[in-house]
Amino acid sequence: MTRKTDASINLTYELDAAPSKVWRALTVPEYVSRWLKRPTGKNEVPEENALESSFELRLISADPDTRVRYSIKDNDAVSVVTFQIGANGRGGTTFSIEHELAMSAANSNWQQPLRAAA
Amino acid sequence: MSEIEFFKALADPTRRAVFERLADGEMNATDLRQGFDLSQPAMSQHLAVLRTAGLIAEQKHGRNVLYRINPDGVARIHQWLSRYNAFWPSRVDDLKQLLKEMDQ
Repeated sequence: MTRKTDASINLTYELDAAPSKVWRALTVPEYVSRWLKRPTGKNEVPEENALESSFELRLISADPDTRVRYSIKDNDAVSVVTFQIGANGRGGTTFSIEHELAMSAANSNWQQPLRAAA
Repeated sequence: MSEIEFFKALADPTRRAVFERLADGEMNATDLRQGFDLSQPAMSQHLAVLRTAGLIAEQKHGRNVLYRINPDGVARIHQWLSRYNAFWPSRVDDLKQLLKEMDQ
């Protein structure tokens, strides 16, 4: 049911790592910053979309080994991303990303920075 | 219209719902209010914010004012979508790399 005003992205991936490990990669700030907020200068290839320049993440909620939600502030756009994980029965993890533009939760929970801006 | 105004206009759940209802077709403020617990001044306020943000447009038909989606606003939503549709696959590649580097 895609409407032309829909501003959400839903993606699902299969990961080889076990859910508990994926959980740490999604929630331990040091790990999160290595994939979701990549330190500048690490890559020789320039970022196509240079999102990192004003990219702030804040934790909204976390259900251990299940679901974690973050607000993302990218320039002026506030959005909410929900990462959901579950065992896929083959030792790996089914990982889904639901990313929505400008939900009310983003504003009411815009509190603790996950990580101070570098 | 600034980026801030645009995204603030969409950040309010009521305004977002009003905007989504207009996606079904143009409507006057009275019809729009149906199903919303909103006073007429409150609805007018929301419509003004949406219009200032470039998300909706209005057209006067005598005493009746019809509101409709502004295609430019929809285009900006699509820009956001295409930006993040490109963003996530590359992030997930990095996540996979990180998972390889992490201790069990």
